[in-house]
Amino acid sequence: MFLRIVKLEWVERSAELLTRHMMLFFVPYIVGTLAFLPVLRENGLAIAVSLVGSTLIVMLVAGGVAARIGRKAPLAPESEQGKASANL
Amino acid sequence: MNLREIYEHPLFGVTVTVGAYVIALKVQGRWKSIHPLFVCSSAIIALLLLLDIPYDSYRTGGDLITFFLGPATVALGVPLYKQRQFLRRYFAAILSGVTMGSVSGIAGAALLVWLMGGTRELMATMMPKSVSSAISVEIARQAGGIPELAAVLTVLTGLLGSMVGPALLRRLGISGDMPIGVAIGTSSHGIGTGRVIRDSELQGSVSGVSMALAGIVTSLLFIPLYSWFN
Repeated sequence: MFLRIVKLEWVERSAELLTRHMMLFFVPYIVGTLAFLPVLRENGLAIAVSLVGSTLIVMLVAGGVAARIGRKAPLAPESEQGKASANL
Repeated sequence: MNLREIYEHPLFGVTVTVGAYVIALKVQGRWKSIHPLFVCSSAIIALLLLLDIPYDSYRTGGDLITFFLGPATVALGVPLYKQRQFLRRYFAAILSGVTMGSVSGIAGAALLVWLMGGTRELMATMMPKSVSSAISVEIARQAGGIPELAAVLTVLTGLLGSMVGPALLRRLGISGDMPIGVAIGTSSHGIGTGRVIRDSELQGSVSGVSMALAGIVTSLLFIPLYSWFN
């Protein structure tokens, strides 16, 4: 696309369809965690605590740092909060 | 046609998954706070358990669906292209957020497993779980963790971040498309990206870039961090 060989309009619609329903494609993986429940139970508490804990740490640190540095970025028009177009 | 013939058909997995997904979206339309992936996956899990359907029968169809993850990831390039100026302007902020987030995530996971008295094997499995599964599985394997468990934990991490992330961040005062995208992409890879791109193309593209950067940063920094913790 950067070479302007492929026009944006050609791929935009099909790409949007794929990305909008990207979550669907993960469903079988999540169902697959079912097969591992016995393993998870063995170390259940340790896994649960560090899973939740470290996920929150990543989110907060990444978001916080990005927000702080982003404020200093050159001319920052805080973009419109695109509202959900949740049809289907 | 008995039940067994039905569920052993490859289309069984496809039908059930797509059907549950459509219902989950309808549920979300009514109760905004319920995450469609959660509804969809638990409905399928319940169905498999109730009818005593082996996971492998579901998987034949399920694999047909996960196949589309490849094309969908490539399709993420389109929003990235459309938002390229925004992404370029905030690149420094995105990269710093991703780097700091990944490092503290790896360290945090190691520390928490250690505090909870987990084994070293578990630690190696937990540490890389915020990047997409192809990468986290390989890292876990090389660090002496359990690759299969790493895949499961990666998926659960993505689901968790995707479920609580946007609301939690907003409550803690982290707002704006850029910081939210960075936080979600770094912590919950593709599953999070799939969630935020439904709300906003901008968040989705930042999240997509962050997820890719997190994969690179984690691969590069994992070994030094891991040996430091041992």
